[in-house]
Amino acid sequence: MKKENKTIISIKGLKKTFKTKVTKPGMSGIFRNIFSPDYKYIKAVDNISLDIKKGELVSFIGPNGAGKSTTLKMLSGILFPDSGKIKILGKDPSKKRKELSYDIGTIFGQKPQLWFHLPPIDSFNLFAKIYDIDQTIYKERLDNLINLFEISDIINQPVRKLSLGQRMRCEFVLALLHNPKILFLDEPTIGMDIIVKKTMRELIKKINEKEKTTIILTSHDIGDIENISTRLVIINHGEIVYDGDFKNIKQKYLSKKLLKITTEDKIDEKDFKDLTVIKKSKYYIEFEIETHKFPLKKVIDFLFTKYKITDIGINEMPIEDVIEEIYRDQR
Amino acid sequence: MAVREIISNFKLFIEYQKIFLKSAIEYRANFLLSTFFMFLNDVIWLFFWYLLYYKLGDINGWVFQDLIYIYVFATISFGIAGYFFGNHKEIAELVVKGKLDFYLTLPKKDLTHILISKNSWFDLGDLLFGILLLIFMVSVTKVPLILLMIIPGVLILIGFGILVGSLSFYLQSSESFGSTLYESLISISLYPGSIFTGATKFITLFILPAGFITAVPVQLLHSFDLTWFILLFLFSIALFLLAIYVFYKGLKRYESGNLLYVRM
Amino acid sequence: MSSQLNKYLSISFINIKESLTYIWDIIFGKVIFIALIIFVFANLWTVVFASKGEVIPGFTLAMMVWYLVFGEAIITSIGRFVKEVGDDIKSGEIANYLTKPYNYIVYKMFVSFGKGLINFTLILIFGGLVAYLMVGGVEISLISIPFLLIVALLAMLLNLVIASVISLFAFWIEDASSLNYIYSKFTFIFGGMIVPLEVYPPLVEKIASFLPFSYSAYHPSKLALIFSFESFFKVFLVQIAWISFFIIILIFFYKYIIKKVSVNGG
Repeated sequence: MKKENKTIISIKGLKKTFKTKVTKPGMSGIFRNIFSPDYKYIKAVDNISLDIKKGELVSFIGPNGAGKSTTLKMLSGILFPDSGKIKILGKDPSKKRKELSYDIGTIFGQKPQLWFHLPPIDSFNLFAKIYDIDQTIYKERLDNLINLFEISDIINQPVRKLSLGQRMRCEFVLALLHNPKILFLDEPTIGMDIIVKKTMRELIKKINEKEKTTIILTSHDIGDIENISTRLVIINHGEIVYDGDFKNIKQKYLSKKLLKITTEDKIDEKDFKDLTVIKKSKYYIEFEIETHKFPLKKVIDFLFTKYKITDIGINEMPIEDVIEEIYRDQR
Repeated sequence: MAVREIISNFKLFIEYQKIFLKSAIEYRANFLLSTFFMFLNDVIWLFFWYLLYYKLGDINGWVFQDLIYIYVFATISFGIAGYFFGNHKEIAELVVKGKLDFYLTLPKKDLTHILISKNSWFDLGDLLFGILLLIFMVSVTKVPLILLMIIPGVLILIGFGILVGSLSFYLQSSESFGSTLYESLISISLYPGSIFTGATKFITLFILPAGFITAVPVQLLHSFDLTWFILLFLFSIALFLLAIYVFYKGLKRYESGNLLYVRM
Repeated sequence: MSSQLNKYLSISFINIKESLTYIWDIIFGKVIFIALIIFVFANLWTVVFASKGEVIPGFTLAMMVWYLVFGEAIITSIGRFVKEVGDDIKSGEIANYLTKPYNYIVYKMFVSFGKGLINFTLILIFGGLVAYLMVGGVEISLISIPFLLIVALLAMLLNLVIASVISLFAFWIEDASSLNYIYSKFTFIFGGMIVPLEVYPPLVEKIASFLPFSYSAYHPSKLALIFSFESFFKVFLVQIAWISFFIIILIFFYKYIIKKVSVNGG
């Protein structure tokens, strides 16, 4: 019973298929399209189930078109599921969308909500009216958020004159004005450089910690969620590939390093018998190590004492390989 | 409950008007130009009709003053619908490009919020033109009845706009067809109603209901007829309600810009 | 010179092909709307002719309606030329075009010309169909057709050249498309696209028939209905004169703007 209360979002067997018309080429194709269009069915979300607890920070990671955004849109009630059940705070978003909107804040990376030509304060005032926030409560809330996000000196400048990072801060304030319990962030880092991404990560962490907001964010880049996310959900082709602790994935897949070594001495095969060797020749070897089993420092110390090394390269495992490896391990 | 909702929507409407005003000030040159050019456009068209009537005297019984009435009804209702409820022309675009997401995630009634959240400067030019015509070219005694009969015109414009825009929920790439229908409605409403007879008259009343925006009100201005007066209001309200119904019905099929066109 | 012309003609040709792939969009968008306007005026002239007889001596009911069909086909075929050029100037996109081995404005004109030919044909077919069903056909002598085509092409060109001059105003005023809106209304009404200028009071008729707009609408459409070689040559020569005049203005304007664009970097 107690556990029930803690679950804030529950998804069971969620499915969504899109029907699209196939455009045929040429003049005759145009005629055929009008009278007998061909349809193609695309399974965007295929049987997704998961529970999210209050205060959790969950990241949906997957390639473009994997179904992350579609899932998020069904959670916000924008899209209707073909089948499956969603309960958010005990309510079905496809039926109680308007009620739930008071508890949910959204930021869509590709669709900024601030009025581009006007100062952010005008957008804030507008949203206060949209959410029917009482004036005194609104003033207090806005003051808090302005302090939290350090935007007091920019709220009176037109948005088009603000930097991307400043705009992002204001978008967050806009989405948090009505004090939502849940925040959906769809591809928030799209089109951002490393520095703005870092700001973004700090903001997300801040909201989750200080406001105790439950957050779901989507991204196609696993690097985006380093240091912020505790729970990782990897989605591919509309299905959940992995759902669990980010640390596990990090240890199991992201902790693998790829080492390339060139030596002056002949390489002894016995030294590498516990490791995954990818390529080997007389004076060159490429191999993977798992840093939690074989700490990097130890390996390198050992190599340097035994061999005369002329060149060494240490690389991270590419992210695409991670998903592929998860698939391989499951099979 | 209902009263509270109306008040809160009205507050939001005012807030949007403030934002529109601020945008207009931010881009005053463009704003003034757009408004002025639409105004000038109306002047030129009315001058054309003046010249035509100068030659013809009357067109099937309608004289130039009737055309002034037509322009009063048309421009003021275009102006109100377009300036205060500008999005009624953009429904198709909102649907196709997935721009409805914004409204769907917010607590206000979707359609209400959609309608009041956009304005068009061009239509303000129409509104000003219509008001000036009303002040200088129409006798004062007729003004109350005219103002009353502008209401159904506004309802028809908004309702028809929503209706053709909602086609996009059902048909892919019906965007240009829908806007052609809407443009046709606007155009037909600007001609003297006396040129349409028989089946054509029926079409301009009940299929492309331009007649209810201008011709019927002008007729009523000349010789008041309670049946037509009631029909005018009943029809416009019915069309408006139908539009709301079709929109929300279509909304269930909304795909949030996920329509992918696959070229083979 | 001829290889230059070839280059631009191939641009028109590509745009004709592209228009053909969107042919249903054009029909359901623009063409149906224009057919409707023709339908409305067919109604208007039918009731007027029923009560008053001929409005202009020598112009039958059918001629009044077909006059509009020709006018619409020539004038409305150029599409959103001014808006496109205006947008390019505003967004600074024009700077990219300037590096290409062709003249930007000539390039844009040939693009519009290619699309325009498709629109012209479609409006003639669908508008003509409406006119035929409503008021019947008109007689056009077979010999006159090649000459009419020449005049029609020059009329489209004249309309396009004036539109080009107007589009360059986008450099000074933010929104040239509203300027174009007014220009098109001028051609509709004082260029005599909608009704023959004889409908207007004599003074208005005289001024309007002298202005360049009437050579892209009134004179060509009337020539189609009442053909004589004498009036053909007259229209042809004046069209050439106006086109040359506006091309000179265009070159002057364009050079000035290019200088500014390359200084400011767009």
